[in-house]
Amino acid sequence: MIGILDNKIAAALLPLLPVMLAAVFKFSVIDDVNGDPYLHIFSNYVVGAWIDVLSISLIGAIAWAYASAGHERFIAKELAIIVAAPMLTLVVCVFFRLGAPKMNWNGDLYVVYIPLCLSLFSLAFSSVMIRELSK
Amino acid sequence: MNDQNEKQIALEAVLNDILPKHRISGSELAETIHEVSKAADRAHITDEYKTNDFLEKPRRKKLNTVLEAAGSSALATAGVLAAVWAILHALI
Repeated sequence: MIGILDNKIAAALLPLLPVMLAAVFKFSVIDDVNGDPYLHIFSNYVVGAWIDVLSISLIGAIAWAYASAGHERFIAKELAIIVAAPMLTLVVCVFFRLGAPKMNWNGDLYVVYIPLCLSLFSLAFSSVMIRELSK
Repeated sequence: MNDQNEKQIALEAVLNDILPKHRISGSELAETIHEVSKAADRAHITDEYKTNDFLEKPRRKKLNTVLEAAGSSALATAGVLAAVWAILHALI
């Protein structure tokens, strides 16, 4: 099991586990589905997933900072490297989510899928960089 | 060999001279050394204390690390999106 963690792809994918678990539990236990279930999943989960994924990447960076607090030097610079991707992605995603409709870019591609794709990438990147900087 | 023995005898003589003055026996000295080494371990005062040297690496190595991280992240993202697409395609 520990061997799996010593792998870049695993480092990139494992942080998605809590998101998936939370989504499955919320859908199964809490949600009251009326009408098309796929439309329900799309509008309640896929559309807002980028916020969850970005939150996890920022929480990961904060947790790493606390865990490395006794590690003395350069922590601010290393933290800047880890947090750079999520913060940049946050700005771009806010533009796509709120700014794109004002430019008449109304398709799901701009409003849903590009923010989701970018936030997944930033979560994976910050997670892999945490792994690299914790060696 | 004789030289070695002489040195050892001289050392024992010195220790026998010093230790009683400080009211410490050989076993107490050994115990103290053990305690000190344990405390040093706890405080990470060892020769092999590992520090993160990412920021001290040359620029090219740092860039390589970041590029490798970006590459594996892109691969993982593509994998997740492909899996989501495949599941949705199978269901709908």
